[in-house]
Amino acid sequence: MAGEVKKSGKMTVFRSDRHEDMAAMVLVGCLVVAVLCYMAFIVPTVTVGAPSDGKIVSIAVSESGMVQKGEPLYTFEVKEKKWTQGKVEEKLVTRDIKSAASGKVLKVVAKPGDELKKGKPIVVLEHEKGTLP
Amino acid sequence: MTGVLVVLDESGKAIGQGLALARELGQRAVGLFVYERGWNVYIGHDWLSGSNARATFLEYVEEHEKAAEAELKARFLAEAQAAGVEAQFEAICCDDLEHLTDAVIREAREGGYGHIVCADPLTRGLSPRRGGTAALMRGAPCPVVLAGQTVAAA
Amino acid sequence: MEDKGIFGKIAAILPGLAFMVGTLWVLRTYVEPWMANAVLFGQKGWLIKVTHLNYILLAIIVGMLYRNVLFGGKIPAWAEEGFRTTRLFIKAGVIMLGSLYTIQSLAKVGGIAILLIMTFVFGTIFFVMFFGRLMGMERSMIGVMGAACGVCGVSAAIATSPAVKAKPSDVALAIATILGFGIMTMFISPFIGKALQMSDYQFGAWVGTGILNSGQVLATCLAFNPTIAPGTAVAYGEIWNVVRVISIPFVVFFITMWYWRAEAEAEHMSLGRILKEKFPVFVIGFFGMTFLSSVGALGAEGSNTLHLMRDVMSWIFGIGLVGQGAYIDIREIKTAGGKPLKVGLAAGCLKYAVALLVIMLFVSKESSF
Repeated sequence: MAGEVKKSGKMTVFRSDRHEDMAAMVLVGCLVVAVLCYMAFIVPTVTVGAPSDGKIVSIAVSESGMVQKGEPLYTFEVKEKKWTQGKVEEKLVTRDIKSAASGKVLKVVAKPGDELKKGKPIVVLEHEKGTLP
Repeated sequence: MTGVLVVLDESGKAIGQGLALARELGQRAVGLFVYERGWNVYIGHDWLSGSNARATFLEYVEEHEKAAEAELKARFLAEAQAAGVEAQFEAICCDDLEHLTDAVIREAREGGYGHIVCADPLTRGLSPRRGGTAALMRGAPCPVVLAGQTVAAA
Repeated sequence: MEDKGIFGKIAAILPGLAFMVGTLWVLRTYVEPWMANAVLFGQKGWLIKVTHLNYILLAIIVGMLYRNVLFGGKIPAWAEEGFRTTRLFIKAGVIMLGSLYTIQSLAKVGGIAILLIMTFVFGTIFFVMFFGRLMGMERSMIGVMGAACGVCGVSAAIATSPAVKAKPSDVALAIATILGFGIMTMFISPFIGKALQMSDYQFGAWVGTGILNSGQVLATCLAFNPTIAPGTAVAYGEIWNVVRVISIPFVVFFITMWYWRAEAEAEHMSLGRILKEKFPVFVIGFFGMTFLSSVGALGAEGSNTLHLMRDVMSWIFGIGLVGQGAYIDIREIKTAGGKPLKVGLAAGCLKYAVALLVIMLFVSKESSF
């Protein structure tokens, strides 16, 4: 039972930290490519969500209409927080949001006057294949 | 099979006690050096280690272990000869996930030893961080003699 | 375990990995929504409002419970290989975080970050050298604790110890101290941040300067604000982090120089060699991602693509953090003591408090990007 003295154990699944670093980079590369390919070629629709918490003032497009990139999509009212001298100042700002993609408008989900939480859908556009929504 | 298993550690406290016990019982003494392998798990906490820092460190630890083995082996065998006790030296390596004391217990069971002599606190590898001799006391298949406690001195 | 080939390796990883992913999935789909709606002490969402728990902290806590309660102190063999991929996930997450910045924004914040970090890193190292000598600590341990408290906790400690010939068992003690302190700050900092109404920018800067382990900086920032986007705590904290990680080789060099200057048999150490040996390669990936986002290859800000990308990121971090929690063995940390504990606590607390003071006084709440 004189157990042979083995070398000290391996550190990670990988042979060394360098291997692990490289593996992490390869993993990220694969993930990024997967996400980009999925978004560019597979996603059927593009949902435009609220960029932050706020209120819809008006919507410039109608269902089944077309929209070009850069055309106004909707107007959004947000509370802007600003730190001045250690105090929070809030003011209401209205912003025109332009479309980042062109395509057919499939559905308008929100109505003017809706209070929306960040990320809630406003408009659903058809996805043009090969572009990043 | 009987014998006294002397767990060697950096403090060396167990050596004298173990050899004395072996002579008293008229049995052989086996000095056991266990290679600590838990380091890679122990420093697994480390989240963003600079490249190769870990590898260099583990190599460094291994060097240390080898030096400790050589030193303790020489010391144990020399003291045994001086005491006139039949002695052997063994080095084993605990498994990746095992604590050092688990390896001692395994060895004691497989070897069928009559006694384990161990320093307390056990200053070997990561043992001081991992409950020392407590696990050994719980799991040992034979009586354990803890050497080096300074109760009387207090 | 030695050579099972690539497929054998993957098969060995799967159970533990699946366990981590499953845990995170349950936490995010069931536990977090439940906490947001649960009525406790007559208030809806009390758990979240008062304890500031979110899935990040939950992931770490559950990981700790696995290790310390469910598995009784040791990760079982079937899960071990999978749990070891933890660091891969954290590293991958950090690389992906690079996409939060553009080259301009990095240049803008990077200057302040480098200034603050260098001041605090070397300030702490000098403090440890002074205080450690006062406490009569061995020179090699002063070196290890200096690096650990100054830069990146455990990473820096293990990077330095071979160079200054510190005894491994002492290093283990130092590691226990650093981890204990780091874990404490990880759970306390979000509370302090909320209580002082710190902005994301201030919080990221503070935590990035004050917390020892770089991974814990990340977790703390995410605990403060789990959103991953430019301008959140994690975006600022990570700049600080990256600067620190890059500085490890330089700090190792500095401490090695200091150590060997006083020893008779001086060992020749060149900065170039240390850089080559210890430079964190994954940082290059981080800057690669920054470059990609700067040229707009990852989609415009606010786009669905980036949204999905950040979702992926948060999953990667979550998985990594479950595993990271499982590496925290409370019993090991409880054995911390002796001189390293005193020096570590003194240096750690001082750095933590002074960083807080400096940030509250001199860094405006307004972020710079």
